[in-house]
Amino acid sequence: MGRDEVLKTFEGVVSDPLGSIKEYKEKEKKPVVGYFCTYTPEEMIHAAGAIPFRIIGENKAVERADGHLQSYSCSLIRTGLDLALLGKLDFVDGTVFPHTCDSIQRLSDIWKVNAKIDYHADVVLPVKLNTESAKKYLIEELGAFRKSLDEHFSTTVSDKKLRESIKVYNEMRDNLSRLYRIKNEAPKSITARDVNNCVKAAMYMPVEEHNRLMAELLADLDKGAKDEDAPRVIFSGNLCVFPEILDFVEKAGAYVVGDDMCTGYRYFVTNVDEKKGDDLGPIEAIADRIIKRPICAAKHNPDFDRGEFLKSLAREVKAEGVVFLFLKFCDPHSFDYPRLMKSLDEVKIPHILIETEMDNPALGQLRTRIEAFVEMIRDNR
Amino acid sequence: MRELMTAYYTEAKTAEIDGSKKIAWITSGGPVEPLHAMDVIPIYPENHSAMLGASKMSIEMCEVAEEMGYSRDLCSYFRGDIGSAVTKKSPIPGALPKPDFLVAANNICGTVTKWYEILSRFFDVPLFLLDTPFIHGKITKQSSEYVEAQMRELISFLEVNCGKKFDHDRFKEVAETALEGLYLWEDILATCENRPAPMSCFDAFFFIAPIVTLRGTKECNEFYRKLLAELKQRVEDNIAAVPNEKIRLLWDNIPIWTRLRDLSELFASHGACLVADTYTNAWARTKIEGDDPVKGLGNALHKAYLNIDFQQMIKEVKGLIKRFSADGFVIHSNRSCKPYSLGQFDMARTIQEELDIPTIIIEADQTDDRVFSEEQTKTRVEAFIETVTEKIKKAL
Repeated sequence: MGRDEVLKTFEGVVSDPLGSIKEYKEKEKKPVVGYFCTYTPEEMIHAAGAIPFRIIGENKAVERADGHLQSYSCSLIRTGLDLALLGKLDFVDGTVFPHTCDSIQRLSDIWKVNAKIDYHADVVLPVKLNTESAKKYLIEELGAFRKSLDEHFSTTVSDKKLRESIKVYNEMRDNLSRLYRIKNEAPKSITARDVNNCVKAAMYMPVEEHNRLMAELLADLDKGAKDEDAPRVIFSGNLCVFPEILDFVEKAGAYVVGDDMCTGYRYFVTNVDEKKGDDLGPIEAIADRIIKRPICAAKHNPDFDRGEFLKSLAREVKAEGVVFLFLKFCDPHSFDYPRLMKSLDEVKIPHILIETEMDNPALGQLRTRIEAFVEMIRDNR
Repeated sequence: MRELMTAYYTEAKTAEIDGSKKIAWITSGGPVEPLHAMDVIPIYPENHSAMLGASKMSIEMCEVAEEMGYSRDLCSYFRGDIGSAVTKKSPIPGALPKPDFLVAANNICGTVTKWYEILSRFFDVPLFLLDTPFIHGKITKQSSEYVEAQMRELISFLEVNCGKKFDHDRFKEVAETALEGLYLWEDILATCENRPAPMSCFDAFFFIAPIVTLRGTKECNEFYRKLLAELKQRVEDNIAAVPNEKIRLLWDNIPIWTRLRDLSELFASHGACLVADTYTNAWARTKIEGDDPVKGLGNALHKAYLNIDFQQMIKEVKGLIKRFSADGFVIHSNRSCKPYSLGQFDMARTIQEELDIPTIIIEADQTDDRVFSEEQTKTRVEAFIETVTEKIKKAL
């Protein structure tokens, strides 16, 4: 398969994620397990013989979830619950709720009563990530998750299987990292939307299949693509559910050269240390990755400053502007925003805040704001 | 009680100036007993934010926070607090005394984790976070060990920041005093099991300040002993909080501090008394048990009302409804507090179906009065009262 075909395949997967995951379930005769946050150790679900996928609802008005969740909850949980209530997840074999934020925590309660999905696992990860006691707890909690998977799926998530799963997931992460480097060095070689599709597709198809397709894509990217001197922009926030926003940036004549989003960089950055896995055990190595990856705003790690991280990311990819993209009503990210804003102001990098709700994107207005922002970056030069 | 709280804030303000005692800001669900044992004055920003609300200063302070870039969708306690810290405006002259260090427990929400991170940067002081993993069903062995380990880490943190050894004997005493205070508080709330109730939850919202801010002190217990005696006397004399009490109701969630009087009068005008609430009762749960008070306190904080799944919460609500013979359930859907509010719709349905009592949901906020709709609330409360009245009549 050449570049265009691979990208088309990914686009197909991303435009109908549930259709895709259902198809793979039937084809591979494996159970499928949905999860709500990228801190979920996908390797463990994979080692249990299931296909993990991320639950993100649809960009449309919520039909049934409003009877369970207030309008001031974020659209990730409202649209996610709607999928379940509308029966669109009837084919799903399980759901995993890692501890993320207050909203996901309560969604787990509501889900358990209303979603009627066979397997329900709460993996109560620590919020604190900088202490030995937190690490010990994290390892034990992952151990409990392993036991729960064993019991439910009548299998044994052995160390051997885990090591194999870690390997294929590391390959996926390596591939996406390479893609990000190419996009950064030769931004014209692939569109931001396609890059985002590559990341999201990894969440909606068997990892081996993704690895195969990515290898073909990476071999066929024109890394020599000449770039004119266009403004370079990065994204920071939680989820990018409207790829149109990426299009707006690039159609306005700028390039998206990186991000700190959980539908992007945060999903795949940092590998599980395979050597550590051999020496200490795979669960320990997975815990180590959870601790080491750049943190989500919902985690507490005084040794990791998200403001400094954003600044250094901007420096690394030579970004000249930052788009903060939040799903509205996300408390952790809203709390971090003034701090992140300040660190960008210190280095005089302009930024813009876009808050969206999945049932009400107001895309037309966003396009105008983004065009004005790109103009401003040009003037800033 | 005014005197009690004034004395408390005066002591804290004095300590800020002369440095005679260390000051720590702490969350409402935080481990305050070890602070008292170390002679540290605990300050509760949440309590202060409620004061901002009750004194109608919260909107102004929230707007300051919004100017700083904090979303209007964030907790109004936080917005009020940071606004007050920046402007020094407060019902307390000069606002809250500056902390020497911070202690937060995320057993009430993830919001306090972020809030205290911000305070830690703002005041440039160290922060200790007690991370209490959420409880689905039963407490797991690993999470209970994790909390216990952190209680030991807290003690080391206090030793470093106070420059002295932790006094375990003193801590034991404080823990015992706190336990006594909690039993008194429980007894105080229990007086409302009587018909008519000698006080309403609007009074309890007011009287809760000492068990939150002064738990573990003799002053707290002394105050509550007097209050309990007074309430018992009222019960004996058949004095009702709401004259001609006809309807008994249960309140859910943090009070709407900006509308305490309006709501209290509105319900009372219909002979309805809010005889209990999940908020003030949540404090009666923090009991330190077992031989090891450090472990016992960690365990008690771990099981906080907002740190358990909502099936367990429903069980508690059902218990309160039965114990206080409530005829209806008033639910405050509080924009500021997701862990308290998400799940309320399901809770309302369950309570309505299983106990067959009417419920009402009031959309509001603990201190951001801009989201409160006076007319709508009044109309809906009146309709609700009518339903409850019908129900009571039928049952007779």
